[in-house]
Amino acid sequence: MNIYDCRILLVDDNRDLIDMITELLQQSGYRQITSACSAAEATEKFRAQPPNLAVLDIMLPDGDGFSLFSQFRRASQIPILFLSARDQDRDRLYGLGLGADDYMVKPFLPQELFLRIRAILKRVYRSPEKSPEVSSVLLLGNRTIFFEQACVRSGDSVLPLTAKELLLLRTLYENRGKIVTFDALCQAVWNDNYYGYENTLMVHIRHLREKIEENPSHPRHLLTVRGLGYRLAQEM
Amino acid sequence: MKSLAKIIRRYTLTAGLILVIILMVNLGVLTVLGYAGLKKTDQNPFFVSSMRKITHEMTVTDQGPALSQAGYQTLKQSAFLWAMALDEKGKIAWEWQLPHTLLRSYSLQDVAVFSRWYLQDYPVKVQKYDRYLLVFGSAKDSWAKYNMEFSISKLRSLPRLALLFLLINLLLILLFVLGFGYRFYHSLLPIGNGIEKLSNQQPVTLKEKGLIAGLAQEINRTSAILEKQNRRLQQRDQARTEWISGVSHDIRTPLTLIMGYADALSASPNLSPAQQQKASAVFRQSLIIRRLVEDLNLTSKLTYQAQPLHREDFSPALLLRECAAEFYNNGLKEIYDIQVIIPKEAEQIRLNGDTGLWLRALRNLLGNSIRHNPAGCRIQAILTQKKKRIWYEIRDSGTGIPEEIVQLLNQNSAALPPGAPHIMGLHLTKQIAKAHGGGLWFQKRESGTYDAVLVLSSMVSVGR
Repeated sequence: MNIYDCRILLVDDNRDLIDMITELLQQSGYRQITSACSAAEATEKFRAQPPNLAVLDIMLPDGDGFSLFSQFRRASQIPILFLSARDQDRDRLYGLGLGADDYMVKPFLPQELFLRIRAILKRVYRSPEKSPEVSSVLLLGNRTIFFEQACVRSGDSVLPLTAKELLLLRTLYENRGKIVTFDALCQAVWNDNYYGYENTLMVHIRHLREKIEENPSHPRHLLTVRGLGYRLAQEM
Repeated sequence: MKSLAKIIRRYTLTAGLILVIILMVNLGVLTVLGYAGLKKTDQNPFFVSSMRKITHEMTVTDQGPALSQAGYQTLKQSAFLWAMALDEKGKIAWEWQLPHTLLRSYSLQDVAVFSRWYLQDYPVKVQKYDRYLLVFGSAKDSWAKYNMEFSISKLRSLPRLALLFLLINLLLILLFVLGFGYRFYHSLLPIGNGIEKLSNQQPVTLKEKGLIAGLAQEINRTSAILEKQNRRLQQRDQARTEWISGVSHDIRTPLTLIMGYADALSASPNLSPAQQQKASAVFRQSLIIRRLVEDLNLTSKLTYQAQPLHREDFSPALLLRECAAEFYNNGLKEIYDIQVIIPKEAEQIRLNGDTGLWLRALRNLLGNSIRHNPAGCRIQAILTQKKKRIWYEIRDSGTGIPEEIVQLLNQNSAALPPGAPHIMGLHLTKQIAKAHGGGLWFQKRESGTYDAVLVLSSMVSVGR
């Protein structure tokens, strides 16, 4: 299913806000957007045509978003995102505890809302084979990394990657262009704190560089960010 | 209750000391009086020495004993009322001012009795002179006579007994003082506990009876007043927090609209670059308002203890790296360089606190350096540990924090100081640190401005 064909139901008591989100969502390519300004109107629209995703405000003139959530969930398992001005931890935890897919606090960046909506729709409505989150092949200069085969090919030679090297590289690849701290890497690879793994991590990174870099002493892809962690350089 | 025990200990010691001093003073006075009495023996008819003077003036003639004029003079000056001399047969051989009621002769039994006690209620003293017995009488009811007898062995052990008696007395005094002190302590203990509870802002209800009834009544009354005041303050604080929370809630939806449209317009191809720039400025300012609203809400909650701390164990080294990496990953301009310095030994520190709030405090400090140095700067974020104190030092090569801001922040006020919007971030950072038992300090540079030092709470554990 194309995520842009998904029906999105927006429920908020502020008509101006609904209009803005509708307009911006439409500009982003979403074609089927319906809206409601009250719980009764939302229930009616939900019954008439169940949406694929609902965005609910919590404070509504004739009820609350939490009750509406429970009502929708009894009828369907569609993903639901809360969008509220209530920023208390207890509200957020309560909403997520009910089983909501996300909870966003107003004011928010529209771009952030769209990214979250897209991520939820992709996760729920796209079949996994069509949307691999991370490609299983990575090109770094004249080297190709095959994650599934756990090896690096350079010309005719093939170098195997150890399990730890593979995990390190995958974590860096999933956050490509961003700094991944020493702590995050140790957590991903050894499921432990950085303390005690300082040298181990350095040794593994050196071995990895020997396999993926043309000149490991002057790396171009796997870069060190002094004092913080490592970064896999964006494609050049 | 250490102070109360100290008071009681001092009271006991003082009471004991006072008793010992009184005892010593009494002994001293007795000694002085006794010595003075000994010196006045001449006026005391019951002292043998005064009788000796009279006897010395006596002579024995053929008619019997006779007293010289000087002897009579001495007798008159003495306290004796009458005198007589008895011969071997008990008959009066000489007399002076003898009362008519007295007999003229005395048997051996009579002599044996009055020599030790009284003669017709006259206290008398006797003295042998030649073959006569001189009897001196004083006025009735002027002297008391007691016959005391002691065994020699007991008399010899008298010094030992006296010492023992003194020791027993001292022991008894000590026991009484301690006993009364203990009773006093016990009766004051509820008062002490009550005062301690009051200082901890806990309600107090003491039993209003016994020695401390009046005090207990006053403490109960004070507790009720304080409780009432606290309740009112809490209600006021809660109303204020709710008001700020309500206002920030009401601002959120309109701000979403402003941010959303401004962001969309800043990238709209239908607008000219100048119009896009204006929309972009509105968007940037709305982001500042969003941050202010969030900070105001949090600062108000922290001021009135309405913000629960979600405590968990965390590594301050990890937090610092995470915060710095977040700045880079969110597109920190290249004119800025955040250098994270963490000594190897600081890697193993584990603290307990609300990591979300600490991250916010760190973000505020790093963000502060970035915002106030638009031309770029180098920032050093250092994690330091000395003894049990752990702190983050945030230094930058830029302008630093001005003196007036530091003075505003160092005001001992829990509420937001004047000029608050400009220092909201730093104020919030200070509140977060204080909520964890830490603090926000400032280090003066040579230029006169300051660098921030974020002091974290005491260490929970070291190790993995």
